[in-house]
Amino acid sequence: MTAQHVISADSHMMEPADLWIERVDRKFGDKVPRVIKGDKSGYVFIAPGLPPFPVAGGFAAGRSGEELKEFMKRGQEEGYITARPSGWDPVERIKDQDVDGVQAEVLYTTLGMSLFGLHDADLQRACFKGYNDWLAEFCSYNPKRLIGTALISLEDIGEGVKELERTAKIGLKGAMIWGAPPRERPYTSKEYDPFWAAAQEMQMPLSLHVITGKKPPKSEEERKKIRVARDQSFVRGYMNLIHEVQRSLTDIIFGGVMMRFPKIKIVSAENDTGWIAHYMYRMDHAFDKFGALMEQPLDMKPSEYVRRNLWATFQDDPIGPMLFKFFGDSNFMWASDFPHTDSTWPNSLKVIEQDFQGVPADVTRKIICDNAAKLYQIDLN
Amino acid sequence: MASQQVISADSHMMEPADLWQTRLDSKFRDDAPKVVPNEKGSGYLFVAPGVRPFPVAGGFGIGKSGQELKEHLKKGYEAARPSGWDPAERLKDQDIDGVQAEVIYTTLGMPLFGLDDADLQRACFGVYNDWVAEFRSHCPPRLHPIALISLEDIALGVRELERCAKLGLKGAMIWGVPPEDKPYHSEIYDPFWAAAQELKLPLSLHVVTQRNQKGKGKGVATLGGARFLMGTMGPVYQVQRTLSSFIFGKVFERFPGLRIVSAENDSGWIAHFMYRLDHMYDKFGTMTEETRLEMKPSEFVRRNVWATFQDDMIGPMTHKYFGENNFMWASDFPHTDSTWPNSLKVIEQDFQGVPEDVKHKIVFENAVKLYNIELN
Repeated sequence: MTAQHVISADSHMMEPADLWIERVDRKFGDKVPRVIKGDKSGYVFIAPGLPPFPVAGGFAAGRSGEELKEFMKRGQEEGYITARPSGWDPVERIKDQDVDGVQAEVLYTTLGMSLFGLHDADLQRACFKGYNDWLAEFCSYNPKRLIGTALISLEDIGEGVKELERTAKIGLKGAMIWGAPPRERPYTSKEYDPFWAAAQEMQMPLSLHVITGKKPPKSEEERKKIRVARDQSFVRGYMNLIHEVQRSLTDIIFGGVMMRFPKIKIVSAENDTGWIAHYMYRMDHAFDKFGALMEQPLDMKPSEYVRRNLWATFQDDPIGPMLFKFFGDSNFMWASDFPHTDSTWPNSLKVIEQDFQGVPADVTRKIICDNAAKLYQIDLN
Repeated sequence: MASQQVISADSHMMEPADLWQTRLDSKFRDDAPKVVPNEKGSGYLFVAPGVRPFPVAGGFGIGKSGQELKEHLKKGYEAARPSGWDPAERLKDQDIDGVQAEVIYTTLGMPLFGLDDADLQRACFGVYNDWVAEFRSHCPPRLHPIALISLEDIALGVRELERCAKLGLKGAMIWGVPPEDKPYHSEIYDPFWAAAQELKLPLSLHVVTQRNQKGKGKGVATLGGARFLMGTMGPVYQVQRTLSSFIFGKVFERFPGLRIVSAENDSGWIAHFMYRLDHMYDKFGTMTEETRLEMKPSEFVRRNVWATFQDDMIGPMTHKYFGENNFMWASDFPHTDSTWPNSLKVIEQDFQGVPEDVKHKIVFENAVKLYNIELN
C-alpha cells in the first residue's frame, strides 16, 4: 500500500464553540447557535427548535464500545479540550492527514448538520454564510489538500442559487443541501429546477449527507431530550438513518431531475455503499414492470441515471467494493469520516487494505483516490 | 439445466372471489371480504371493512409488464389461471415452469392483515387455513401452503398455530409490521415465539402484510405512476425495521430456535444490512446492558433469518458473505412479479458466477431443509 494516494471524500470540520456568535449578525441575538455547558448534560450544541447535541460525538475518532463511553463522558465534562485541534486549525489538519496517510480530504461540517433542521430561514442562511466564509479561509491554507463543501439553504431557491455562486467564487468545491427536504416540498418539485441548473452549470457536486434532513417541528418535550447512544431505540434507529437519503435519491431519480439535468452530480455522503447495487436492481425491476404507467416516463433505466449522476462515499463497508463489478468502480469514494466516532483514522490504510481484499488494484485506486480527484478536480501534484 | 431441481419458496394462491362469503360463519357474512365489480372504473376489486380496495387482476398479472399490464388490470377472474385454486391445475403449472414444489402464500389474505376487527380477522384466517389444507391434501409433497395467523390476541394466535401444524401447514404468516404500540420485541409475544420454536414452524414476514396499511380510506389502490415507483424501496425498509426489532429486542436471544422468513423483500440488501448492524454494534451497542447482545447481530441473522427472492441477482452475488444457507429462490407465481414460465432461464441468468453447489442450495435445498419437504 506504499505510494498509494488516498483521498478521504468525507471528512469533517469541528467548528469552534463560538463560531456563529463571532460570525452571525448580532440582530439574531440569543437565537444564534452555540456550544454551552449545561448543568447535567455537559457541553452541548444548541440552536432554536433543535434537540441539544453533545459535542463530544463530533471528535471521538478511533473509539468504540467501553472506550467511547468513557470518552463521551469526559468530552461532556471537559468539552473541546478533548478534541483534536485539526478540527479548526489547518496546520494541525495537514499533520493529522499525514498521520493517517491521507493526501487530501473533502471537508464537511459537523455542527452544521443539525442546522439543516432549523425552521428560521433567515437564521439558517446567516449561519450557513458564516460557516462558508470560515471554511473558505480554512481551505485557503492548502487548497490542494483541503477541499471544502459549502452549506446551502434551500428555504428560498433564489437565495440558494446566489449563495452557491458565491461559495464557488470563494473556492469551495461542492455543496450540501438537505439530505431530505421538508415533506411538503419534495425534490421532485420543479421549484428546485433553477438550483439544479445552477449546480449543473457550475459543475458543483451536491451532497446529501446522512442526518441532514429537515423534520417537522418538535414539541417542547422532545426538544429537551438529549441524544444519547444508549438505548435500544438508538441502535434500531441507526439502521434507519440511511433511509432518509435513499428516499431523497428515489425522488430525484423517478422525479426526473437527472433526466432534466443530465450533468448534475449528486453525492450520497456517509450512507454506505453496500445497498446501492440492490437499490439499482430494485428500481429497474419496478421500472420495467410499471414504468410505462408513469405520467412522465423516464428516458433511461433508473440504474443508468445512477451510473451517470450519482457518487457515494463510505468508510469501512466492505459490501460496496465486493459488488464493484455491478456498480461502483467509477462512483464509489472511500472516506475516513475524520474526526467523528465512525472514523477509520488513524488506521485508514489498514482498513482499506482489509476491505478491498479481492478487489483489483486499479479499481481500488479509483475508489480510494481517482474518483474523488476527478469529481472535485483535485490536483494532487 | 435439465436435471436442476427447483423449489419456489414463495408462490401464491389465488382465492376464489367468494371464498369468505361461502365459508365464514353466518354472523360475519355481512362483513365478509369479497370481490365486486369496480363501479367507477373497470375490472374487479377485492373489498373488506376498512381495507383499501385492491384490483384483483394484480394477483394474476403474471408475465405482464408495461402497457400490457395496464390493460390486464382491467380484467376479472376470466383472466386468471385456475391453478390459483385448483390443485390439479397447479401441478401442471409447476411442471410447465420446471418447479418440483412450492411454498404457497395467500394473495387476497395479505390486505386482511390490515383488518381492524380482530374477530373478523381470526375468522377469515381460520377459513383460509382450512381451505389451503384441503388444497394441499391433493399432493402433499409438492404443495406447501403457509397459514395466516392473527396476533391481535396472542393466546388465540398460539392455538391457531397449533391447529395449523396439525392440518399439515408448513409455516405461518404474521404481520409483516406489527402495530406501532406493539413491536415484536415486546414480551407479550413471547408465548407465540415459544410455540413457533417448539413446533418448528417458520414465521414469515411477507411484503404488504403490515398492520397499518397505507392509504386506508384513500380509494382504490393504484399500481404504476411516479409516486408508486418512488415507494419501491418501502417494503425493504419495513422488513429491515422489523428484523432490527427482533435482533436488538433480544427475541432471537430468548428463542434461539426461532425461524423468521423475509418473504418477497429481495436479498441483495441483506449483506450490507448485516455489515451495518455489526458496525453499529461494535461502536455503540456494547455501551450498556440494555443493548448488549450475546453474539454479533449478524450472527443472529445467520442463525435465525431466511429470505426469499425472485430475480434479484445481487443476493447470489454476495453469497460468500451471506446467503448460501439462508437464501431461497422463489417464482412468486402467479403474481405480476413472477418469473413463470421462464424460471429456469431466469435462474440460469441470475446465478452466473455462483458455484453449482451454492446455487443448488439456494434454489432447492435450503427450502427443503427449512420446511422438511419430502419429495419422494
